[in-house]
Amino acid sequence: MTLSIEKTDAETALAAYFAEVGDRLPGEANVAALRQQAIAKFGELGLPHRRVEEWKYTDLRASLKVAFAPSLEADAAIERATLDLALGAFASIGAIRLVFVDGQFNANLSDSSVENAAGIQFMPMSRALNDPCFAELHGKYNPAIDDSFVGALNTAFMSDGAGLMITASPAEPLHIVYVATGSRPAAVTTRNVVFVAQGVAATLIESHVALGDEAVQVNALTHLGIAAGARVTHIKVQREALASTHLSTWLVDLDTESTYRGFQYSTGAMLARNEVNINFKGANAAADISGVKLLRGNQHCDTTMVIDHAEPGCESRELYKLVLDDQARGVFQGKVVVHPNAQKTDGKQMAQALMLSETCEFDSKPELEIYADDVACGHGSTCAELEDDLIFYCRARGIPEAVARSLLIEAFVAEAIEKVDNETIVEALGETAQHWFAGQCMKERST
Amino acid sequence: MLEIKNLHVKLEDEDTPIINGLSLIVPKGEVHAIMGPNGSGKSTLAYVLAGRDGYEVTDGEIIWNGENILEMEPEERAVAGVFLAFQYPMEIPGVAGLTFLRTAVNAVRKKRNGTELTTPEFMRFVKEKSAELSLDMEMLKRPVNVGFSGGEKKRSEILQMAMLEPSLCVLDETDSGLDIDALKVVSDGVNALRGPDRSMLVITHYQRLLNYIVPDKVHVLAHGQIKATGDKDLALELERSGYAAYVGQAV
Repeated sequence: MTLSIEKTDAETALAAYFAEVGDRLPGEANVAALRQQAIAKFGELGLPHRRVEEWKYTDLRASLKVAFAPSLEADAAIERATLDLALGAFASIGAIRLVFVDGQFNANLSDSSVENAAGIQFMPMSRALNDPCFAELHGKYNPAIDDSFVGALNTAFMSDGAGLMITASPAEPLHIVYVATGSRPAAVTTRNVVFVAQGVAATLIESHVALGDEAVQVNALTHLGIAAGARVTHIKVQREALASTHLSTWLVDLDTESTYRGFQYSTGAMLARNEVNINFKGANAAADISGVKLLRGNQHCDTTMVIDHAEPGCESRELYKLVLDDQARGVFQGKVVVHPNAQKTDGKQMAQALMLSETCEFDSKPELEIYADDVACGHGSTCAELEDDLIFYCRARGIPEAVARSLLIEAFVAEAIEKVDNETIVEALGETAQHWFAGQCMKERST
Repeated sequence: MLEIKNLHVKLEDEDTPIINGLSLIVPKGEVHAIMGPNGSGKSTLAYVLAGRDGYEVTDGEIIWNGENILEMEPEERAVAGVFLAFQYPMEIPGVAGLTFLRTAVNAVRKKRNGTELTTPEFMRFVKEKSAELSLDMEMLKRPVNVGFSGGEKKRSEILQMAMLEPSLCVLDETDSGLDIDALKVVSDGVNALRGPDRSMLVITHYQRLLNYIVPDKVHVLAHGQIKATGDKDLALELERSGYAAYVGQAV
């Protein structure tokens, strides 16, 4: 029996926006047809709510009261210096920068070196959607994308993103920058499609930053295909304006003996949901995903992960560290599926929260579905407060209490950050986190 | 000069007094030992001097260089020159020893005279001091005290002490967990810090430590009070006859 549920204002608005701007979105007839299907699917699914198991701790139907209009053009020219300021420590890492302003590719702010870089073929998705080179790749993309609410909405509204084919190991990381100008409340929907060829080693960074305090509603999807023997490091830094909503999906396909190292840093947005889907499509591949979430006020950040061990001999590792203050809420859902033929799977998962207030909340849900008999899978979750004894030890050495606390918080998250196998990026992440710790010191001094 | 006047201390959530009218004077430049049996209040005295939470001072005062340190936060006491070498130094996972030392040294220096050490200055300083204590610099790159042996932890405490340049050193059972060689190294480190401007309070169970760190005075602590005061020979006498005579005394 299907119950017809009354549409919320946001649901009605999203459908209306599509009717209004759908034909102005990039892509030819085949893409337009995909978008139609997707919006129809969204109409069926609606906004997910707490009675949908995967959304139990993040009731989007209740919290997304208003849907912003899609951003179809970028406003105002931005100076590179302004962007650098927003990027903070990530402005100075040596990388090939690809910049998207309010969801539109900006060639002026991007490094033109990408045009000539050996082994890198870049195309903004607005073009790549209909490029024959990307057609095959696009055809490969997981059709299950549209089964989820976030994915369907992404397909319906995606305006741009990075299309990348990497066929030789680049000397520098590729830095995809999404900057929100905040000139008006806008929904920014982007998709990256990245293919890393056999045996290639590449580093990909995604930054989501804002120039002001204006809220933005982000739906960012990255589909990453990693060919046999390739090695990819994939970093995400999510630091939008505080009032924002951030919905993100990473779909990672790993072929035989490939290696993937993912890291997600989240301090931005009032409501964030990071979905990560790792699909082992070849044997003996390895994925290591870690993350740090630093949340205060009423921030809510959800990481929902599905690790799909469909092939034998693969290894997966997850380590998430959450620091929660005030009424902040951190969610970690980690599902590991081991298929019957995925023997010798080795999976380990850990989510740890440091709770700085009495009123914060940590929801941690591991889910193991194991259908093979020769596997080693484990999961763990902890939550704790800062230890008074350690704070006293620091203070007895002359370190002021607020500094001592921030030193200990930093130490707590360091383990996850240090999993990133690139020293420059580790340093930039450390420096980025310092700003959050400094804010914490100020806050503690004022209370 | 350290002056403890009629100090009474109990645990915050219990009524039984632990220190019970303790009075003590340690003049500038002197090293005093406090000896006493288990449960006599030695460690409590050390923690109250450093300002640890969980204790309630119900009466009395502790004057250090003219200031009542009981009104100060632990970090303010460190700036004022108080240093407690812990009986059980804490392990701080994730915080590199050098980071910890530099944060502490510069926090204290900044408050004392408004200057901080630059990175090269700090590195020179830490190299010099750790060499004196035969402490491998590599160990300081590891998280504070994590995986250190008992002896390494105590040497790391004395290194912190040397670098923070305190004027009042409180050593809480610094000899516990040390073998003879480590005891010698640690004692040499402590002795190197003796000087006319520095007072020390050495808390110990055993006389042995006092062969290496020779005190100007020895006090016997039992039932939270000083029961006897003498010179270093008092420690030798305690070694022979034990604490029975003092433990038996009525409070």
